[in-house]
Amino acid sequence: MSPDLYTDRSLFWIGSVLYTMAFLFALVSIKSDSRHLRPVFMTLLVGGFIFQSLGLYYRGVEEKAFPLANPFEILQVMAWCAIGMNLVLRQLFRLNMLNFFSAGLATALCVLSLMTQSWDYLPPTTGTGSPWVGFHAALAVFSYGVFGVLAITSLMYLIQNHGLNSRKSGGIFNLLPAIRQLEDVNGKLIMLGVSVLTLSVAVGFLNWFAEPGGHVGLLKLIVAVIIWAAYLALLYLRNKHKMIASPFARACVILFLAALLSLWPLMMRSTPDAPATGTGMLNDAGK
Amino acid sequence: MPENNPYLFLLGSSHRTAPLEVRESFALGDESAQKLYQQLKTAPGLNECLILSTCNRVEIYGVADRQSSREQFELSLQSANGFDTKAFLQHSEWLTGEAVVQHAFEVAAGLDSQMVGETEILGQIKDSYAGAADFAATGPVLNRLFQKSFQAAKWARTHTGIGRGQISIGNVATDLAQRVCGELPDISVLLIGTGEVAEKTTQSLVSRGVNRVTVAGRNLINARKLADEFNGPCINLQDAPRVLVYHDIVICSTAAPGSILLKADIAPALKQRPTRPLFAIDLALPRDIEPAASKLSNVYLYNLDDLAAIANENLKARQAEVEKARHALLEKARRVWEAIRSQT
Repeated sequence: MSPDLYTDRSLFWIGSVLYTMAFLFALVSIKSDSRHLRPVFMTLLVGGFIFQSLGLYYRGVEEKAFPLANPFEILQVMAWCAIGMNLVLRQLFRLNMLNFFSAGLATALCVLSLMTQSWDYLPPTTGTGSPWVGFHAALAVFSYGVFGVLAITSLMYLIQNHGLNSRKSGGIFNLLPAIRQLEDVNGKLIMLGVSVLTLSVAVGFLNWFAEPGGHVGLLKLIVAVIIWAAYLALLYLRNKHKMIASPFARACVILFLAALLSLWPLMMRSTPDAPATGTGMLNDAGK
Repeated sequence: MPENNPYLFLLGSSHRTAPLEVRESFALGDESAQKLYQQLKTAPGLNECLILSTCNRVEIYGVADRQSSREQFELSLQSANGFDTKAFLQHSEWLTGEAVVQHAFEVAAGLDSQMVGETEILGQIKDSYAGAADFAATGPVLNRLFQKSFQAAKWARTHTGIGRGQISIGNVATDLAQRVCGELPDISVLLIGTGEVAEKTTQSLVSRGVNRVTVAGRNLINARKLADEFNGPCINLQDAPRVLVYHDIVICSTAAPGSILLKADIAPALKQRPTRPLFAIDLALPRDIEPAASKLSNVYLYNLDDLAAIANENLKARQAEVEKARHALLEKARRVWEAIRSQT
């Protein structure tokens, strides 16, 4: 897998390398307590986001749609959503360390997507070409991005909670946001994620009813509904104060891992297509 | 060029050379310091001087125009009024040249303080420097020395771990409060009892932004007095569990023989505010808060031993950084001393 600088895949490579560098750089600066290195970290993170955005833009031009046609693109879009949301949330809620953890998540998702070249195949031609299908997919992946950030803030909650309960101070514990802040942000994120996913499921169902049995397998349908129902149940339990604090944070992390694993059946296709080369983008789209 | 040209010297006494009861005898107030400045201005051969007087040290930095001796300067001090010269000279140290620069750097950086890495000393040196400048007592050498000391202190704080972590109970509790509750101006504190440690801990919280403090006490007169200090209401001790729901931090420091806040008191309060954590600080002996309360979700209970253990750990970490900082400041002091020598 040698990246070619003139393909959109190279842009994803550069973005991923920058995310990885940002993550490693932050790790070193946290360990050495060098706060003055922060501008370098932010430059790497924003740089990664820009390159990844460019990659997604060229994919979009190639596919004439939001690029969500194969596992590679879905993972890249999830990482992109997570970083984009993190950049906004960081400003809104002043959450320390969110950048660092988001860089870690983006690195993991990007590396996973780039590891298997066969995941980056050309999109299958859809029967209807309905824009609602694209809308449904975009909403679903955006909600996964929100759940990704929720998993990060939940993880931060668990680390801070562990530090306080085991009487640990200094280091990462003093850099993490407060328990109260994280609890508050978690409440808002689950509400946002479930709302977006519910809308996505509703649009998906309307499409399914319009074209029964079309391109959606039963397994995909069942898994999608289970994930949605699980997040909905979590939101319900939280609002009823039956699951808050650490149990809620643990559930968010576990559920997001399950949601990531569920992508495999959600992305299952009937026939394999030729791999996307990324070179001659508009020509590829015309195939 | 002579070894020490200009003749920069320091005569000083600190917690390292004199016990507290001795330091008390020659502590200088503002008025006494002014008198001493006037006295020193007439001292023969003395071109510049600066007096640094804090609760832990009295130091006189000077620049003479020739190779003066310690005896000569001590003679000038003998006639000073309102200053126990005898006790001071008995418990003082004499430094010259580069050693003075190094000492000034270490004092400014808090390396020579009882509480290693504390920052208050830097403010006190700046005040002393301003005071000396008002008397036109400083000149090119001391000006340069102290400007560089301020820079050195800032450098040491930024580049070494001498200021990392809090080392007083109040500040440790405040750091923990920020980890539990976040922005302190948004939170409310319930202070149960009027013990001194609890009062200082609350003061520390107030100094970092807390502005809502309720004091609960058995003796309402004492509680009222303390509440007035924090501009907050006071309530009877028995009402404390009832108002717990409205507070994010509870600090207990009563002389009660047993627990006054039970798990059963805290649980209903938490039910009414399930997503808001409660930070409970028990500074009393015997303990005021039932230890089982820490089992409740969203309750973070710390007692005196927990806070002291964190403070001690932070102090050890700071002390481990002292040698690193001292070594770096030694290099800086050498360069500054060379520059001072070449300038004059």
